[in-house]
Amino acid sequence: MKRKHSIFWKLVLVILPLVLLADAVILVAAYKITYDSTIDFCREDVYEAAMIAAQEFEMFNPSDIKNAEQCNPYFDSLCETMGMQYIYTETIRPDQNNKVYLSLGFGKEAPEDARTSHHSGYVANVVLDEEIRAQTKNETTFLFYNNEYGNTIICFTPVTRHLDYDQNSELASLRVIDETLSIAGAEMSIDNVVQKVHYRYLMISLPVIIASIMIVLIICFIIQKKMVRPVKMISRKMSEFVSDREEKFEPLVFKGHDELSEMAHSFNSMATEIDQYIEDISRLNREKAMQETELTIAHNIQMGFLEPTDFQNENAVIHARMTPAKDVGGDLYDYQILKDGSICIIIADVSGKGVSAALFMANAITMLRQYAEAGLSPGQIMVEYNNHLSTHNPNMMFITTFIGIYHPDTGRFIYSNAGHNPPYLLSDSLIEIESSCQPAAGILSQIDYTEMSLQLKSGDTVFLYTDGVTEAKNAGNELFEDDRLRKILSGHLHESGASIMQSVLDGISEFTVNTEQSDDITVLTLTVPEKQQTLLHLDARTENLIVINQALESLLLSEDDLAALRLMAEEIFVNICSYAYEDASGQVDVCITSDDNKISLTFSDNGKPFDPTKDVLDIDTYDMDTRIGGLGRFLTFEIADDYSYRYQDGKNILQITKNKQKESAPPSSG
Amino acid sequence: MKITETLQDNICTLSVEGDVDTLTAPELEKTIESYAPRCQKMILDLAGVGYISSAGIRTVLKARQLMGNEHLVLKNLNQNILGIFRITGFLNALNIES
Repeated sequence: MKRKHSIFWKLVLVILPLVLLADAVILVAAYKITYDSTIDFCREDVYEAAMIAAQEFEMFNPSDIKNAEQCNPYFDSLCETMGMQYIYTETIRPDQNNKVYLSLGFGKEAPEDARTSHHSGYVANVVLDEEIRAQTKNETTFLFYNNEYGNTIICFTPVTRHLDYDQNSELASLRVIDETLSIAGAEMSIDNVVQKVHYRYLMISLPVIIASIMIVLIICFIIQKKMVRPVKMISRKMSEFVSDREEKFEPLVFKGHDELSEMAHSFNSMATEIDQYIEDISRLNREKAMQETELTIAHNIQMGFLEPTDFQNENAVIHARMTPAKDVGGDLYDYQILKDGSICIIIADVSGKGVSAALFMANAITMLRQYAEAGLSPGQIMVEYNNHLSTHNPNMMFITTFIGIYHPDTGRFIYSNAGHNPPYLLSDSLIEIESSCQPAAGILSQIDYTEMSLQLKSGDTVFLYTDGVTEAKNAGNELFEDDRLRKILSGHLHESGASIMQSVLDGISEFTVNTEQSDDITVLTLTVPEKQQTLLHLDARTENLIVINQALESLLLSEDDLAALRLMAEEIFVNICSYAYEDASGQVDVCITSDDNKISLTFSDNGKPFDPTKDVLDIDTYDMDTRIGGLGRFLTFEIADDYSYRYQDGKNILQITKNKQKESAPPSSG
Repeated sequence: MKITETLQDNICTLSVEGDVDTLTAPELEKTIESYAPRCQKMILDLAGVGYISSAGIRTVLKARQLMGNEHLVLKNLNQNILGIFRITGFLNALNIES
C-alpha cells in the first residue's frame, strides 16, 4: 500500500506546505488589514464618543454636577451605545502637575471598583502629554494607553468647563469658563475588540486551513487518478509485456490527446514493433536452422558420393582427403577398380562453390563413373564426359578434371588432363606429370582430349590435388604456392601415400593457421605397393619342398604364418608331384608374392588338367578308423584366405592367398 | 627330424623333434610300425615338433589304427599343431595330454 501511494504522498508533501504557507501569508495580511481597520473604527468611535460627550457635557449646568449621579445615566447609556469603557472629564493643573478627574459614565466593561471610586471625582497625579495638549492647545488628541485594566484607546477633546476640587468635601465642582480650560475623555477598551477580532479570525482561519488541506488532498487525488494511474497502467502493461511473452499483446486504450495518451500510443507501437521484430527474428532463426540442416544434409549427401578415403588392394594403395571450405564444395575425387583390374583415379574442381557446385559435381561424378566402368580410356572418357556436360550446362559452369588409369600388369599410368593442376609423380625424384594444355570440361563440346602415359614402378606415388592446396592463404594473404608443395613432396619421396598426404595437409594447416579456409582442399595419392616376389622353377619332386621352405623362411614371417604357408605349399606341391605328371618328370613354377598384408602362392604346372579346389573331402563323413589320407587339400583350403584355380594355356594355375597375421592380434588360445 | 624311442613296461614312448612333413613322415611311420606290435601303449611326445603337415597327421592316424584309439596318447602339442587337429575335427577323437 505504501508503495502504491508513494507518488500521492509525495505530491501531498510538496503541495500542502506550499498551500499552507500561502494561507499563512494571506491570513497574516488579512489580519493586519482587519486589525488596522478595526483600530481605525475604534478610533472613530472613541472620537465620536468624545465629541458627543464634550457636546453633551457643555450643555450641562455646572451646578448640576454637584449631583453627578444625575447625569450618569445619560453618559452610561452613551458609553453603552458607543461601546466605551469610560467617559470622563478632567482639568489639568500644570502648575500642580496633577489633574482633577471626574467620571461621567461607565460602560458595561468597566470594572466595578472603578465605577464606585471615581464617581465623585478625585485628583490624580498622572498627567499625560496628550491631556496637556488637548487642554492647552485646544486640539483633539488620541492615546493608546496600557493600564491595569488592559489596553485602551483614549480620545481627549477640549471643553469650556473648569473642574475644581474641594479637598474638604472630596468633591469636584465645575465652573463655566469661556476659555478652554478642561478636557473630555472617552476611553474604550481595545482588548475586547482585539479579542473579538482574534476570535473571528480563529473562526475564519481554521476552516480556511482545513479547506486548504482538503483541497490539496483532492487535487493530489485527482492528479493521482488522472496521471499516476495511467502511468501505473502503462508500467503494469510493460512488465506484463516483458514477463509474459506467450500472451498476445493487447494495446492500451487511452482517451484524449495529452502526453499520457501519447506515451500510451508510443508504447503500443513499440510493443507491436517488438512483437513483429521477435516474430521476424524467430522466423529467420527457424529458416536459418532449416537452411543449415539442409546444408548439412547436402554435405552428407555429397560426402556420400565419394568413395571411402582409404583403399588398398594388391596393386594399389589409395588415400584421399577432401575438406570443403563451406558445407558443400565443388571438389570431387573418385577411384574405381575396373573390370580388368586396372585402377581409375579422378580429381576435379567445379568452378564456384555451394549447392550449385555440389549439384554439378554430382552430375560429373556419375558420368565419369559410368564412362570409366564402360571401359573407355582416359582420353575417351574425357571427350564423352565433356560433350555431355557442355550440352547440359545452362549456367556455363566448368570443371577442371584429371583422369588417370593405372594398369598394374604393365605398370602404365594413362591419363588425360582437362585444365587441372598437373599432378606430381613421386618416384626417385619429384616429377610434375606432363599435361598438354587442354581446356576445362563443361564449356566447349567436341574437344578432342588427348591422353598421355607414364611408367610406374613399385613404391611410386602419384599425387593429385586441387588448387585449394596451392591457393591456400595464410594470415598475411600469401598463397601456399607450388614451391611449398614441391618442397614438402620432395622431402617425402619414398614414404607411403598416407604419410605423403599427411605431410602436405600438415604443411597447409601450419601455413594457414588462424585463417579461414577459402577453398575446398582435396588431395589423392595412388601408391604402387612394393612387393616381394620369388619365382621358383622346380622339378616336380617332393625333395624340392626344402627349396620352397627356404624361400618361405626368407620372408621373415611370424611362426604361425610360416607354418600355415608351409602347410599349404607342401600339400599343393606334393599333390602336383603325385598326380599331375603321374610320376613322370615335370616342372612346377612356384611364385611367392608378399606385400605388407598378405602372401600369395601361385603354382603352375603342365600336367594333366586337375582342379584341386573341387572334390575336397567332406570332413564330416571322414572315418578316421578306416582312412588315414586325403587331408592335405582339405587343410589347405581351410587355412587359405583366398584361392582360385584356372586352366590356361595348357597350364594348371592355382593361386592361394593367406593374409598376414596382424602383429597386434592376441595369440590364439588353445 | 629326430626320434628318441624308449620302451618300458610295455609302454613305448616316441619323442619327436623337428618337422613332420611329407619328407620325414615315412621315417616316423616306420618307427611306429616297428614298435606297435611290441607294446601295449604308445606315447607320441611331440614337444619338439614345430610343424606338421597332412602327412604327419596321416602318420598319427596310422598309429591310432595300429594301436587302437585307447592305446595311443599324444603329448606336448604346440598351439600350431593343436590348431591343425582342431581344423580336422580330430582333436576330441584323440587322447591328447598336455
